[in-house]
Amino acid sequence: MRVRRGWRALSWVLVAQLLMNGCATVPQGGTGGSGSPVEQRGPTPGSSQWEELEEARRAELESALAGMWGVASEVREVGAVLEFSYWAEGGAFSLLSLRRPEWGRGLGSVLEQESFASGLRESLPPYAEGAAGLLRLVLRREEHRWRADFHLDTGAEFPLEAKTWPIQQVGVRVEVLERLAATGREVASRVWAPEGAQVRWQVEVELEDERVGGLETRPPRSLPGGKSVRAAPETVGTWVNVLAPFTQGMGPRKVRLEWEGEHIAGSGLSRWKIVAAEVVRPPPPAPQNAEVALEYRAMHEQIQRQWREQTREGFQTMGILGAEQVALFVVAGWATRGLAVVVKAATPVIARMLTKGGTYAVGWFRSLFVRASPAEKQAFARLMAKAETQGLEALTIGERNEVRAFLTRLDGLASAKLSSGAKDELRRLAREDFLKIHPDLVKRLKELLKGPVDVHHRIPLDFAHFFPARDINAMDNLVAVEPRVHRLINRVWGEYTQRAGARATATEVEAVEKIVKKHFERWYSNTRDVPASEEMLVRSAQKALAELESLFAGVGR
Amino acid sequence: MSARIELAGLQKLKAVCQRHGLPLEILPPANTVSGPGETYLGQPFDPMLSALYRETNGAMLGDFQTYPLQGDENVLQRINKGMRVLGDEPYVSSLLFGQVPLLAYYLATVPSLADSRGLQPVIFINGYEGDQVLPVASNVDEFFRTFSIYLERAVLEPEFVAERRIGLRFPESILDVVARDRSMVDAMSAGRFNWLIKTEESREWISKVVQAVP
Repeated sequence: MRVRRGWRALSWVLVAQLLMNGCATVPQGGTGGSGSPVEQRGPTPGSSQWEELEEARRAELESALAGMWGVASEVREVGAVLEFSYWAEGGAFSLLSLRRPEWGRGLGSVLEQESFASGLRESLPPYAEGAAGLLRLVLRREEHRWRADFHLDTGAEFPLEAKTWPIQQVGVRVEVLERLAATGREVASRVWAPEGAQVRWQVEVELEDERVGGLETRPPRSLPGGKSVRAAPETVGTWVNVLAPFTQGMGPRKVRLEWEGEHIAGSGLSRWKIVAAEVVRPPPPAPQNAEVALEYRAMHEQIQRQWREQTREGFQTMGILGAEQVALFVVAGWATRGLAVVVKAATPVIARMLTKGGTYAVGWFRSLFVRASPAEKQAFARLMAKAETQGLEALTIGERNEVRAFLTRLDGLASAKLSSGAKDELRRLAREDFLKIHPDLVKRLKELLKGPVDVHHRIPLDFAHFFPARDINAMDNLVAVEPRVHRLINRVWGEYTQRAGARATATEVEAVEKIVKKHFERWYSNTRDVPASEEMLVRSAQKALAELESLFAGVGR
Repeated sequence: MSARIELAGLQKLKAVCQRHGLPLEILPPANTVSGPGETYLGQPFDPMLSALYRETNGAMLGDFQTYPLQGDENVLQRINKGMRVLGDEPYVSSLLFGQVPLLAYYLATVPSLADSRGLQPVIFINGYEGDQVLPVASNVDEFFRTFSIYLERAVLEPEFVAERRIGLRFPESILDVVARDRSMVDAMSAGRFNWLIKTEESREWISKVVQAVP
């Protein structure tokens, strides 16, 4: 069992202050959950954090309205229907699909953007600020206006690409628009319609966060013969308007679009209209990685949120990320983001553990990562921040080499004796984890003892290097004991350390752990026999020390 | 004597905890407290500990907790007696009065090294590392003052800013503060702690503190 660190507990005010100073702290990997209703992913309505996000919610609403208008402004046919599907949560809108099921006929009057938006501006927020869900918005074109119908499905499954926190940024950034326009020109150069006919083409475009990637165009199965007519130049604008709102999601995905092209009579060009567009999601993670993927997604969203809200200059120097976040990034990114390809050969231990995946791997990597020097940790966190915001492909060759060198060194540390600094950090992390997992046990023990409790590592940190594939801070290696018990256990281990010296082995360490367990287990995270009787403590210690003596006699020392 | 002792370091520590929203829990004072110099578990009781327990019978002070002296069970007595059952150092010659919560990082006074006023120095015992001893303060109140500086530094660290987690090492991170405790440095230089020093890390600590004297 691994600790799930809730980012809700963190102070975003502090983060904002750090960003102002040129560096950023990103909250710990967050909670998640599949399906809906889900546990709260964003701030609770009415909380002070919720109030602070009012501007961001307003920005989300305006972005959604602008995105709708981008499509609706090109539709004048009376009776035409546009259907938009959003994931609405915490005031954030994430476009999942759009369709034009009815084409309409005859042109209605020209409408202004504001007349389109004003009614929706009033009616949309309640759907986005209550329970999270799939919001279907059906817009029907009438002669002088658009009529809107809403339906919120709170039982729909949560799509991983959706935002759960609002982002204080209206519209789409210029560089994203430029990239969309370039891709739109590429699409326009590829599609064509036969003279005097209508055809439908399918286009798929890869997205990762806001970044626009590869493009695939598929013609209809059969194309009538005759002269082909290319897309009119204004097709690019239509393309950008349709696709732009889809770029505001999270993570890797594709958007599949269906376009209908029609020869413009009397010209050598074709006109193109959107028929449907929807997000195509990558296959779900392997079952053992499902929880990691959700935690990673929550962390990634927070990093992206900061990235999109801050100026690039202010963000470039960010880099203070905790061990938990780095571990989530590495484990989640091992298979899916190409990190394995970068470093696999050079990191046999890391490769073996991360290929297994799962929450244990996250804990294991965190316990390994903290062994690196502060400078190394910070340097790696900076590279991770860059990869998280701009993609792994944004790392230069030099930076990729840096990642490889660091992970290679880390791989070696898995089998190296821990420094005193690393041990201290692991102890402090262990107590935090233990408290989070077993708050009631610790509370009860403190009540019974009227005093302190210690967290004990069953396999001591001194011998972690004998077990490179084991997470030394995993809960199965931690128990709560009163200080007197802890002292006597440590005395047994101290005796072993002193006697075995450099000749200590993994097998012996496991044997000593068994001896310690045999004589002290009755007090491991146990509320029945506390406080321990002094007589029993002495007897247990003496027996354990005597058994240790026999162990040494057995190996001829 | 204990009535006249003012624990300015303790007050500073409390103020630091309050300022930074760190755990601060002060139990009511103990009714019966050994007076300064009175024998407690076979050794003279430190005057500052006596003053401390007249102020509070156990406290949580940021990342340090003191052991209650009375109640249903006398925790101070139980822990110290329990630590001494095997008759080894540094436990038999010291009095543990608190620890870093949930960790085997203990703080103790050393009665036999009391100064002319009867004030006992404070040592840090790392229970994980062969009961390694690091002398940290010339008296209990000086320890509180030193610990308040440690906390002020700890809250500036990324672990605290991001996770409200104390990640800074004690006492390594406040070596410069210990080096300004003149009486402590003199005692270290004079080799008064040598009989408690068993590990290379302890020797290195003393050497670094002495070298860091401003």
